[in-house]
Amino acid sequence: MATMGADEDIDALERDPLGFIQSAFHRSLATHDGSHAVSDGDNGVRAIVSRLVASGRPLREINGAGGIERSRENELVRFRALVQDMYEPEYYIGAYVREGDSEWTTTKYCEHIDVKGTIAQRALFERRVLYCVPVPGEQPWVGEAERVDETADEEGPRGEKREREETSMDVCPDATPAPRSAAMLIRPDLERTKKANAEDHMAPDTPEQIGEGEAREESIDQLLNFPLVPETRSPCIVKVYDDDDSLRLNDVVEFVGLLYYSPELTAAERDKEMKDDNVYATSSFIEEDNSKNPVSSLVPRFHALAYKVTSQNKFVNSSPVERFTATDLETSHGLTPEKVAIARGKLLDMIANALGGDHFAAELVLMALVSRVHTRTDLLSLGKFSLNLTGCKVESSEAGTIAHVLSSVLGLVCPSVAHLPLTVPSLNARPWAPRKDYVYNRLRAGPLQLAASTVLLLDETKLDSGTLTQIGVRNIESLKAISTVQDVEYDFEYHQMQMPVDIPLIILSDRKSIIPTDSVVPLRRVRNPKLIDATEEELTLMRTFIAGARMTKHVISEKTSVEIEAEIVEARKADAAITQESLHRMLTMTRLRALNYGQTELTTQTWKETMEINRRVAERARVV
Amino acid sequence: MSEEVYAHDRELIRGFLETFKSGAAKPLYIIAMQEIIDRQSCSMQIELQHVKEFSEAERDQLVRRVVSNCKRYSTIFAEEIDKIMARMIESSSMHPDDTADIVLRHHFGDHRNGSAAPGSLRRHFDVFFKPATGTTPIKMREIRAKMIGKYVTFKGMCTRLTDVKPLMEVACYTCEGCGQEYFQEVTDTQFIPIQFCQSQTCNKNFALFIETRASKFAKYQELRIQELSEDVPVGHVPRSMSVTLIGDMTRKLSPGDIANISGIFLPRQSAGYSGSSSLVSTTYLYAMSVEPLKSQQAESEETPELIKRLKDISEIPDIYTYLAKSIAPEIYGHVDVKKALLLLLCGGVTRKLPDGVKIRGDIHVCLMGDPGVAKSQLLKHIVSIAPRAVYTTGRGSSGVGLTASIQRDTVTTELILEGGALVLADRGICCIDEFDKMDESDRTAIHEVMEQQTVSIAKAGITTTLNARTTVLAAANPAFGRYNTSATPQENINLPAALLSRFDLMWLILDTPDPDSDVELARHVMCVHREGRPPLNSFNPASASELRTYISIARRFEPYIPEDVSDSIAGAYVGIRQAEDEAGNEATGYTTARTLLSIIRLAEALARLRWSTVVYEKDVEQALKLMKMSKASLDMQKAATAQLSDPIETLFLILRNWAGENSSELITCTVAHQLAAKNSLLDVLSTCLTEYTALGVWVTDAENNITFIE
Repeated sequence: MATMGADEDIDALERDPLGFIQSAFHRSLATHDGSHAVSDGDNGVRAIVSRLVASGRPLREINGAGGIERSRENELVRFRALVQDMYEPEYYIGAYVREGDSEWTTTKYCEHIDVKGTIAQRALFERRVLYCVPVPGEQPWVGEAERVDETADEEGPRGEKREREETSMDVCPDATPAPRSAAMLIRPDLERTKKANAEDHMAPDTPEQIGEGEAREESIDQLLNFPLVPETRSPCIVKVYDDDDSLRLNDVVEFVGLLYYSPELTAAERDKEMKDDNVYATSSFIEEDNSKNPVSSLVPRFHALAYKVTSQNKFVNSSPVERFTATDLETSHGLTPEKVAIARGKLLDMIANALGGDHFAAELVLMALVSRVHTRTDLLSLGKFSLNLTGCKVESSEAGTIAHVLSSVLGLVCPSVAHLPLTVPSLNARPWAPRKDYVYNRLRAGPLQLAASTVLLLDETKLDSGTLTQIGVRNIESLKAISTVQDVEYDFEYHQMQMPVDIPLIILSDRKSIIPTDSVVPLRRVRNPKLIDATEEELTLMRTFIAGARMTKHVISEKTSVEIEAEIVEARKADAAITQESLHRMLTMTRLRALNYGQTELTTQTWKETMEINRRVAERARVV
Repeated sequence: MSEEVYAHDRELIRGFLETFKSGAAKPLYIIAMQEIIDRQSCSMQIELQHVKEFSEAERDQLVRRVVSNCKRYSTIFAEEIDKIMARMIESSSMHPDDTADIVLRHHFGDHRNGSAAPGSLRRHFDVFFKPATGTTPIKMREIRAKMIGKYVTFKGMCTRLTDVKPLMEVACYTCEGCGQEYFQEVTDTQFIPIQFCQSQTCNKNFALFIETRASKFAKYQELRIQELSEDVPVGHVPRSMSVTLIGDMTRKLSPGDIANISGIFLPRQSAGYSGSSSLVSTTYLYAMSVEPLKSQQAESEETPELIKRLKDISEIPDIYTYLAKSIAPEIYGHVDVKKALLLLLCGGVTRKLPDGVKIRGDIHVCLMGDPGVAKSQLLKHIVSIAPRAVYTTGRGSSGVGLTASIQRDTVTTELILEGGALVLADRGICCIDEFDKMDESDRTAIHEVMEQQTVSIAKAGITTTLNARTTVLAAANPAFGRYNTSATPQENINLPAALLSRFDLMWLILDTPDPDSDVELARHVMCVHREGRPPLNSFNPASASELRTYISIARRFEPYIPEDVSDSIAGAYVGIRQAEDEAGNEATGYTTARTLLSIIRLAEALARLRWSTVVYEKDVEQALKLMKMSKASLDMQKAATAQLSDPIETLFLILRNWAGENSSELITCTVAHQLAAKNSLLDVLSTCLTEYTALGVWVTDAENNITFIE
């Protein structure tokens, strides 16, 4: 509260964002003497929002505690999401003068406005539209520490529940305020998906026939378009107001802005509205218009005042202020060597227990967890490390299969994890890579549309013999591409688009996986997989360690470089099978091992240890 | 803008339409108008280039106004054309009257009551502007809010379209009671019909009904155009735009077509902005010119600066090595292989003899080698450099395969021909990975592709020949996973000789340790990891775009072979043949007339590389050297075989041969034991079994029965 009064703009913005925007607009008009035409500038709003975030004031995350239903109108909120699709830019009346009025009014950052009377003058502005989904596979603990306190929310300056219900009627001012449960009229669809079993979410979709000529309704899953299906959080259509092209597909972005969400407007009402006003039925491609303008109770609108491209790892080890002000994504975790040792030890213990007591394999899993593509050239994606653990078939155990236990362990320590069963039916069910659906003109999400650093855990142990369809073959190709080059090919029907990704891949299989990986390690189990507990404190430490190790900028000194060069030449003399490819892999493993020990610099010692690991892996492969 | 300015422009436009000749004998647009009067045409195509030339004296003013306020000016043009045409019709006595004209004239004379027929009912043409020459299409991404109302030209791909439907332009009503006719002009996508007759006799007692035959309809189609993939910045989704086609513009495109589209960028009129309705207005493009482009034209980015830089590059003394090293600089070494790939990119000259025989100029290359020697990476890199290339695997991920297949269209249930990778790569490069794992049917078809450069199909009632002028770049794994040093090259390359002889160059990439190059390799790998790029050390590789443009320019040269050079080629060929004769059974591969053609092709490619129209003696030498190197890469292995005769591998070969002779995939343990004993190799049997099991060549069960894995 020390900053109170120090910056009037910030306070004004927090109190009444829309009012502040309007006055900022007028202020900038005044500086132009009013003679200038209204311009589509940002009127300094973005800078003030950034200052507000930097001042450390807590802002609610819309998918946080209480969910989206808690949102109030005209309240600054945060939204952490993945850019799933990019729609066409939107042209809208950004400012207008009413008949008999002389003042311009701006409609920026508003979803709907109520113009009393007719518009005499108008200016057409442009904004970008993004379809954003909550980061797929994100673990519930992410962002927990930053959650705005419940009670504080209730006692907020305008936080009365009743008021919220009344003020959120921005669309139909005359409608009788709907009871709060009205939201649930549509939400049941979400409830259904919530209950869906995690195992079943790869089951076949409703069979899709594209281009049947008839307008068909999208299923609720298609409309919401989540990459990973059981999802309870809400997606948003985000409108971005500045002219910058820095936002890319699959970026993890933190938006700050205003949420428009009207639980009372159901699909039936929308249809009625459509008949009345003919707002949407302006094009021959009705399916697309419907799909891109869903009711805001299903897909709320979010008008972004400011945003920052960030990384999932940042939500673990930096404060909102740091996140918004940081210029470089690469940082270190800043843990002391002792802390690193504790975190590492506990992590290894947990993973090894999940793997039935194999500490050596746990080391390699840990390496895969901290891997990150740090350099990309035309041909190489350096830094990736995909791992295949074989011999993971467990008949039965009270704690579940290795895949289940490992996935729970990873979920505790990694911000986002995708656990997918690899079976013939799941591969044939639907394309895993995103593809363009031209009927709706949307990018259909697939389970491989994941944010950077999302750990992909493939469970191949249930794979039976069967015939792969064309879709299945393609999915296998996509997985191969992730494993070898960290690229996913998006299907645009008329052309393919390579999308660089950064997804650490761990495959659990009985025999050697059908997907080639950087390392294949036969598991040596001594007991059944077991999930061991960790204290909250330990968890925090481990999370910070993994997130930090991933983002660490890592160097190789001149001296080490020369030493390792000599080692390489020696190694090649001894073993002719060492190719350029395997050298890249070994150097990457060395880097990961160094990160595992909290080192930021590569040493010859680590290189030698890595060679030893490789030797042991090869030995296991031979014996099994 | 005030009407005054328009009045001035009307004058100008009238003058333009009546007098503009552009070197022709009669005014161009008068001719066009006559065609419309004669019903030979129903669109008036006005070239902005002409308007520009005409208004040059006026400092481009008119054309600029037309471009920035296009919708208004297209109406002005139409009205002026109407006036001129009316005069033309009056003055001509020979005017052929059709029924419609008579009906219309009747309407125009009848003004007693009801609404008069609007001028647009009589107009049976649409005004379209064609872009001025030299207009470069802009990217779809560059179309912004400020361009609304303007004439824009952009390039895109059609992804969806509607059927062509009639769009009502003028509605005509007849009263049930008195027969009075009414006309209503429709300017929007929707209209409110007139309900009741206004005449005094009926006094709103009778309803009106629409007379379809007297109403005017236009052909109407809507398209969705998507941004071209090359215009999309990395990490973005292609934009798309809705395009409206009227009249003659319709039916010009089908899904997947690429076209240059010009038109007016307009907001769609929505039903007013009052109340709770959305403030958003959708936009569309009213198309005025649609020019379908021949499937993806390889347009290289030839800017003057780039050309200048390329000129400098072409001066480099050893350009051959320089450019070769610029291919996949991240992959260390393999300069000879890269040289071969460079020549493959340039290609030789395709010749068509007077008797119709075609001699291909494409240089086919086959890369062989152990897994992990960056074959696939090289292939993928070639795809990124080549102006036109397709990457596929021998198995082919789609059901179409490599050549072509007949499929049944799911919508129309008609049989359609779908081209495979080789057909799609026509006039380009087809990179086939895992060549050895190709389907049997494709393997037979590829013979034809590689020499005759066509694909013939006789399936399901369709008999046809498709062009496949494709350069084949194949990558194959050795027959048993790893290159077996004790086997002959033919045994390792599991491909029929007839197919192999079609490759101009065969290359075996093996990674043999060698202290000098190992140091280089180590330094290279370390540098990539440290700096994220290959070491610079005095070598600055040409960028991918430089390489691409250089090659596309080089491909335009058609070098010929002077007489003295052709003599030396002949001499060299005879030399090789003799050497092979002497070597007898030891010879690797056969030298045939195909080899001679290969030498010529390689020499031509080398000349192209120098941007030269003449093949020099030294090109031939280089070509021969490269061929020798390619042979040597296979021979080298043979030399190694003589020294190194590993008992384990010998046993493996014996077992494999036995399996081959008996065409069985299974060798029982007793047979294996007998075979080993026969060759006194019993001591290595178990080692051999485990080692090759580890390689994944075969599997053994508990009793040591061996099953070969395909």
